[in-house]
Amino acid sequence: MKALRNGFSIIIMLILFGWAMSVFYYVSIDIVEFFKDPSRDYLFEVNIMPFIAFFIIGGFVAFLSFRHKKRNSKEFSKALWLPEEFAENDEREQLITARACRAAYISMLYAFPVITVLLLFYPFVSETIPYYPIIVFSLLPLTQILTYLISWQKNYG
Amino acid sequence: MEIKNRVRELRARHNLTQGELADDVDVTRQTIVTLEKGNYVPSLMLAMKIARIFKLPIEEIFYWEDDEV
Repeated sequence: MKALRNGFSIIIMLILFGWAMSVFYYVSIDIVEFFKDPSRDYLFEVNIMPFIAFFIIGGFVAFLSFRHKKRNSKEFSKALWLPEEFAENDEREQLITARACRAAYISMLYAFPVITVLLLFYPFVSETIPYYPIIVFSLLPLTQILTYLISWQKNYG
Repeated sequence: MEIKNRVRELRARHNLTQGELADDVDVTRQTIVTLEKGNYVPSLMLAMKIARIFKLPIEEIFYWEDDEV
């Protein structure tokens, strides 16, 4: 069940990161406007709420995950870089991971064209949702992680 | 055609719990559970470890469904 818990943590962090980047998109627009009109008295305005949420929640989740991995792994680099989902305990769990990775790879092949087509709608919504590409692009890792988790859950029991 | 096994029966005969057998062959208890249910076919390595615990040849523990007596 570690994999499921960790997978959902990653999904929450991805959503928070997407939110923070969506806000940062407005910052980029502000900066561009500033360079066009340097007489303006500010460079950019930003809502720092998503950044705070990402760094506090994300930092807390990353710390918990690292501490858990460090306890179970002798190698520091593995604990730091290897996702917790890959900390298999035996051959059956390795097989489950392999199947889940296969499913996630296949999901990418289907998600990529769908996401590319969704990007074609950007000109229609660029005024109301300027950060639309960030949301759409975030769908790719979300699709893969969800597919991984569903496959993992299906094969575990 | 499926591969069946007598792990549950042999484990009971040897008075081993699923956890104890799992520790002896270095896998998780969940793996022994799925193996006994017939939902998982072990690797040759794990099959040999189990055979060594029960002191039987592999083919007396794991067999084709059709060969069932």
